Amino acid sequence: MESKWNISRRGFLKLCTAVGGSLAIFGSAKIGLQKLQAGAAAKESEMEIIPTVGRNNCGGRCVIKSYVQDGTVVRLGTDDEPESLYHFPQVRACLRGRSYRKTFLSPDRLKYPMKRVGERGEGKFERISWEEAVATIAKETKRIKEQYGPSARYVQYASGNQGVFRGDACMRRLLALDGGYLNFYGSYSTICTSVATPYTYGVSNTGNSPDCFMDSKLILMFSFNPAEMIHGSLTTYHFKEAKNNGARIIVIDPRCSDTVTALADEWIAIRPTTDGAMLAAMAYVILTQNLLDRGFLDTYCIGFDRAHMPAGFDNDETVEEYLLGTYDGIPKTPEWAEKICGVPHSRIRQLAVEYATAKPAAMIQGWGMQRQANAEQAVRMGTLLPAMTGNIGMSGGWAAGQGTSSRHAGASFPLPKNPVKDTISVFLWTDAIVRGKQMTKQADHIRGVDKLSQDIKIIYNIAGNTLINQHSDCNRTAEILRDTDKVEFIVVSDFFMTPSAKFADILLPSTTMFESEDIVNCGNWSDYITYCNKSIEPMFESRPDYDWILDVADQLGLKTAFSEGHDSIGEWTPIVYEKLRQKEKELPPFDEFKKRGIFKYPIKKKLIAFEQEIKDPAGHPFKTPSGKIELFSSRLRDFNEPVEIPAIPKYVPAFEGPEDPLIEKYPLQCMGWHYKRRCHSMHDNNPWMEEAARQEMWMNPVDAQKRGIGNDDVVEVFNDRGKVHIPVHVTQRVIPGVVAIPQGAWYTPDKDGVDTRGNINTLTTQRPTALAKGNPQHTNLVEVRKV
Amino acid sequence: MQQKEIDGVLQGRVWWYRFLGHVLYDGPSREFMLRLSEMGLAELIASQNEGRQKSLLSAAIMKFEQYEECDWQSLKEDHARLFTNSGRILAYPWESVYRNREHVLYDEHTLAVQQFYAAWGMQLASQNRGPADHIGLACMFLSELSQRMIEEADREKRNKCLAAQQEFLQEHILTYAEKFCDLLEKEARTDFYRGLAGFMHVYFQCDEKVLAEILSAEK
Repeated sequence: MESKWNISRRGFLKLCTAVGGSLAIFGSAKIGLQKLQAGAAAKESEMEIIPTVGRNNCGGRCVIKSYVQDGTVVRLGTDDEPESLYHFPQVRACLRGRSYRKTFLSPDRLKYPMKRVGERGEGKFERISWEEAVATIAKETKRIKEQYGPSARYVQYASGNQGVFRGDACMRRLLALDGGYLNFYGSYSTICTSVATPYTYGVSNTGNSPDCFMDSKLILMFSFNPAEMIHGSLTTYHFKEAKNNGARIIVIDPRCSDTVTALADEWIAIRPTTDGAMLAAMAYVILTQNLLDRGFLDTYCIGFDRAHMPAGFDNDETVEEYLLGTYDGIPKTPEWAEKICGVPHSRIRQLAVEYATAKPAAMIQGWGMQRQANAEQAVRMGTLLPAMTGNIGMSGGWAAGQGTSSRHAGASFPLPKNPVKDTISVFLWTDAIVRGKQMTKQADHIRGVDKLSQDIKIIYNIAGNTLINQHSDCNRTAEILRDTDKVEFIVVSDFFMTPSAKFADILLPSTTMFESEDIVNCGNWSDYITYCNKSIEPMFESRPDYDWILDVADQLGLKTAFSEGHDSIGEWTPIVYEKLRQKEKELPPFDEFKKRGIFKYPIKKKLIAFEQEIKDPAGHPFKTPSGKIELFSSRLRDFNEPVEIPAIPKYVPAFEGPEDPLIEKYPLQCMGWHYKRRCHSMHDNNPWMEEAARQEMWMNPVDAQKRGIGNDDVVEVFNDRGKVHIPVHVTQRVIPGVVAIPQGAWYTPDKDGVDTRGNINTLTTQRPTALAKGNPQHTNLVEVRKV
Repeated sequence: MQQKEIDGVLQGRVWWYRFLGHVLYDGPSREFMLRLSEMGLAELIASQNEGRQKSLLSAAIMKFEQYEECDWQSLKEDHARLFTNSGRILAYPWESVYRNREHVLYDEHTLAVQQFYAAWGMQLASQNRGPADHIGLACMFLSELSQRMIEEADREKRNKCLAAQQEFLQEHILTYAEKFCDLLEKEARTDFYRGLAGFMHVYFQCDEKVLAEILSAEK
């Protein structure tokens, strides 16, 4: 040790004897320890196994078992219930779930409430009391409402906590009781498919239950990577079962993803944003080789051919005419598509034949393709193929589109009606800060009103990193948020000093799944419900979000209205559970459920989307205006934007796609993916995860060589919006012309504004998609150079 | 070692461990630091230093009297960024972080410290939150045991208490003191905390030796 001093035994004794009489200088300072309270035994206590749950927003929710001794989590387990006993696969945790102790018991946790003392975003804070934090939040909540009206208050999209009593839900409940808040529609996961799918089917829940894949002969996965992002905790299990049962699995993706290596028989490499062209060419082949199910189209669909156009649209283009190129002179042949998407025409042709003749066949549209600039059209084109082949309403088939399904209802925390009608797309909140009052139904597809009445003036960001990290264009977002004249007050509640937390005015320490109770509904394609038991006391001064929001409610005079007499989540859970139990009769009594930590519904009957609509079309029309599958949508035609929002599915070249002239300047398409080591941005600060899968960009050797880039070199990725420094993995697992940066790394700009951690959103755009006004975060043109 | 000398050392250990606990756990209040300088602590440390370098800690304490508002603020901020910040901190004060392969809070080491406290009838004070294996609390615990020793006449009980202190020092504090002090010296911005790192490490080592001596003298 540099400043080491030395002392002899004699010196040490002198040091001791010299100060012995000076105890008075400690004054009344307490010693930090106290006498053991009566009843608290000094002996070792028994190990308790407490079932809890991984409640992040991957697509799954997993069983976590805390081995707790004396208020300390000493190790973790996961679901160990015998499968044979419950006839149900184990709901096990992945590498992320199994390292929760490492992630959540970190010494870098937020520990106390704080207030900003530096410039906003600078990350300078000072410790304050909970009383001061709550009083400030209540005061600002009131002030903004009085000064600007309730619609200036925005509870940011946040997905870090998927519990029923998640903080954003609590805050919306409180604001609804207090006059309201600005709503949003959609999510960063699914907005484009959730908006586009219902134009075809009337609903977005177009999925069968996953046990139906056992009946599939062929499964096509477009931009679908369940092995890595966990679409549901049991999803890969079902695909393995289907594979064992003889299904062929083909993945169409720009990357040879872990799903390809784990599950697929074949990988077809495709350029990002061009799925629509490939799908159109497949449709062309099915049409021209007469492999289509005419009877199905005639019975259930409108818009495919002239004979089945809705009345009043006789001059509009039909799907058939589009595919054949009747008006535009471009038949959508595989040769045409190959030039756009890069997939060899022979493979497109062959795949179309395979799909059309392998009934039942499932063509799944992963949500990757719908985070592209032309996403809605890709979704619509996807729904065309199952309609042409009659793969709808049957086990083993798949209707495409959003593809969600659920056999059971979930528990919910009652949300009172929001008195404010103003509703924006989830992606347009930065616009609503900068030009809220200019946003209209016509231009911005806002809902509920024709024009927004206010700009956003206060943001509550609870358990989320979309305040900057997960939103597009971090540099622009930072600039907007830094301006305290725009958003006047920001509350953030989190576990860590995330990029979003740095933009807080009041920053609160929240509790993890180890430290609070909740009910957590299952993720996608699953049939269970879980209970998050509290394993240990909250760390430091952290509190469940419900608790401090209740304190804010109290200061707004709404305590009883908010809590209905329940002062903690633990008092609410039996109540919402019993309400659910009235619908779901198989559920056991609450105490039994809580003790086991999970209830797995017995699997009885397959859920098949649109089964009744297909069996009995007269008695069960589709929930579209025509009652049919709308390949032609008069509602889309009403937008009167035929190029970007056509009434029939069309391939529309994406802005910043391979056909954008900008590609001359920025010749590489940059896409993201959901990395196995993170759940969105969570776990980015867990060093174990970095060891398992470091933050790196994938680049094809062809592109690397051209730029003199070798494996592991650190490169600068840039476009007009920003610069990122990141190490490169040179690999043939990504196609030439495309680079891939896994999403969710924590935005860490250096003094020149260069992001040093590799956050893809430093490069993404805030320009929304045409119809859904959603997030095109996989659609970016960039250039790369060695640094 | 004579009984009188032993009592003097024990009395001194009460003070020193209380001092370490206070500046590590509670933080540096202006009044307290000024009192340190008034009592001549800087001179005392300097006078007993036999190393080649001047004692940084001694020099730092000497400067307190000239401190201006901003210096006190820097000292307070240094304590916060090292030990108490909400979010990332730079010198983790908890035993578990050093000893556990996951470097987490609240593990079996925390538990062992808690049980050690409990065996001596102590627990974390109710106004405090956070893990009990904080090095500041561990120091306060040793201060408390040293005090009990002074008040205890029964030889067997004295021996037991002394052995416990030795065990606690060896099984807990000394297992991570070097890593902790290294980190503290590297990350501290103020001379006080950088100096404290060097001082503290030597103090723990000397104390272990002197404890062994007292233990054999008492027997």
